[in-house]
Amino acid sequence: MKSDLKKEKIILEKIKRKFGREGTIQRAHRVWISIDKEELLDWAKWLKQEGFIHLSAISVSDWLEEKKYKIAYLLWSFKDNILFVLTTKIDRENPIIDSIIPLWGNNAQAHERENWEFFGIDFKGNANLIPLFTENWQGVPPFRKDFNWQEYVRDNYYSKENKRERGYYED
Amino acid sequence: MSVKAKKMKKLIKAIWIFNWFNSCGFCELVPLVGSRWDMERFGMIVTGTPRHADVLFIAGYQTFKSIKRAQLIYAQMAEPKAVIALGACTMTGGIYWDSYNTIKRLDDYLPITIYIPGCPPRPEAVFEACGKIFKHVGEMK
Amino acid sequence: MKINQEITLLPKNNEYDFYFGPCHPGSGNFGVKIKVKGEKIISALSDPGYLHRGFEKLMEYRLPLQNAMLSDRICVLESLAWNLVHAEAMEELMDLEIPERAKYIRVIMAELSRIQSHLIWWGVFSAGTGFDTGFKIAFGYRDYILDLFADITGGRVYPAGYICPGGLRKDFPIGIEEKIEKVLDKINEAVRYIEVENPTFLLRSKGIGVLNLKDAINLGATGPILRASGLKADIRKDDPYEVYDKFDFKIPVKEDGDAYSRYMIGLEEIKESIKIVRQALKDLPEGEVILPKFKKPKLNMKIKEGEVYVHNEIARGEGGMHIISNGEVKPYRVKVRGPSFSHMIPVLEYLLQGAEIADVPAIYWSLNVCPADLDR
Repeated sequence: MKSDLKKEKIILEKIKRKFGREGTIQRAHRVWISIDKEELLDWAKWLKQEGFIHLSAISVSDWLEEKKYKIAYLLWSFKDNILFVLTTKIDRENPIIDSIIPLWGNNAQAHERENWEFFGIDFKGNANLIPLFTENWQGVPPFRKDFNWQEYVRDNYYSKENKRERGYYED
Repeated sequence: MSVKAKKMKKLIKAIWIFNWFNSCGFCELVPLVGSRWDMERFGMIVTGTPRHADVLFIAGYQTFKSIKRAQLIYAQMAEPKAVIALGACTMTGGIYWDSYNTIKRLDDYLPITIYIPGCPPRPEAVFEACGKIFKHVGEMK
Repeated sequence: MKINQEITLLPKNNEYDFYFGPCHPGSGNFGVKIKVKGEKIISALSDPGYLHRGFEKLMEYRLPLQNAMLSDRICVLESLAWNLVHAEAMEELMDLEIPERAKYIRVIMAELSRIQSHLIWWGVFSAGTGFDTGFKIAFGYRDYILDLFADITGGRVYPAGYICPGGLRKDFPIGIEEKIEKVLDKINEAVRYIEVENPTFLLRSKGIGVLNLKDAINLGATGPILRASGLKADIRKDDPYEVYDKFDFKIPVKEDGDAYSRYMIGLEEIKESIKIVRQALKDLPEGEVILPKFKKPKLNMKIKEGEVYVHNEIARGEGGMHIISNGEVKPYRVKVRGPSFSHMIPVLEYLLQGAEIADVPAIYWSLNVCPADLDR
């Protein structure tokens, strides 16, 4: 399964000529690069023209000490067989970023709706941000790092006096 | 014999189930309808509407969204009716005990007749549970 | 006699709201809200979330070996396939190289899981369109494969984390290779039934729910649905994992994009999977099946820092996991990408516009939904 990484190197050279940034080749078929949030739409437009037409997922992770959310856009190209990962960071207290619906249509709309529900990110340009999985959930966005599920469940649903449930209070 | 026992012995000769196979139980209840673990030889069939059904199978974990629909279905069934709870998640929360969205004790929401343990229980266990319902009705005074 | 005006007035232009929900006998654990005018559908809105447990955060509180047990419950209809995705992601993060025998056995289990998932697809698709015999045949033949799983892994439906990071939990029992060959002969018989063309099934699925190639790519379709619209794309050939590059198999592609071609691709894939399992059984090498470090693992084994994305071709499409680790014992963030997410939210809403109410089960089941990997 040895490959010579030719196509990955061609893409990185084109990016260096056009945008002036260095990316990394993690292994065959994987290219990672990180950008600022203002350049997102320019990069996305150029990548879509280069053949990265399939949006796999939009994945968000929460970093408490840096006070930032890190968003990763996972794009796949059918003709070159390369997965391109575009990462960017936004502020955790006021999370706003542009939406990529003009390029990837309703597929992007569904992924952005899911991330709005779980992390509270506001995608500018997405007019249809309504809850997808939960119904009448009144608390904080559930996937943030400061919302500890085990404590929440122990306080609200279980009781230490019940013999069957005592095991859930030991770690 | 009491009035209730007479009624139950006449009515519970064959159990009709409402077709709401949800969550993990889908994968073990659908083969029950099929040809290997044929449940029609015991008189059980699957109906499409709760108004014809005797038994509601809660086949696994429930979330807040789906327990509301289960309560509405239970209210539409006619007496006498029973609820059978499948799996470990209905007893204490099971493997998803620390999830914010699942129901921990099904007993707080619906009156349950029989619990069947397992993750997921084998089809033979479901038949034994139905057999116990028949035996319990047969011994009623 | 006074007629109660409120009961006899109909909506003005014959437009109703209709709910094709989780309790309907023709649908799974997934709801669709439809706006109907007469018998034609104007617009549709998907309503997922009946099975949402929050896997991605549950996995942050558990060790990798405990996560291997949890990963079979992501989708109940193909649990071994998700086991494999999680194990591959952890191995790539920890830079492990597993023994050859383990890779061949993993391919055998993944392909058997694909065959039983396609049999479920045919079974519920036939039941939804009224062909009841097909439902009974499919679930009858599927039980042979579930008995094999019970002999090898210990569970009919959930394999108790059989494919774990580091290899497999235990080796094949003695004498299982002959049983697998006999089961494959039985599946060939089942394929013979599926190939017979039942006229009702043809009428209810040919020309229904046509998806052309440009829309399929834009709306995020992957797997058999993309191949039914004309693009030859399969992760087992484009980005090979385990030992798939050593086997000889074809990738079926069709041009029409309707519900009939989607299922017929499933039929061809069952035949190709049987070929792969036979080749793997012939070439199965001897040796260990698990790395020595994982035979008696220490509970405080740290994961190296980094992030990785792994995707596999599971029966429904592209299933992926994006795992980030910051050097601790438990993973920092796990993101699960289920194929049904893109199929049921953008693609279904697009296909239902302009369809008739009677065609909704045929379109819905031809997209091969697994509501559990949509909601996670």
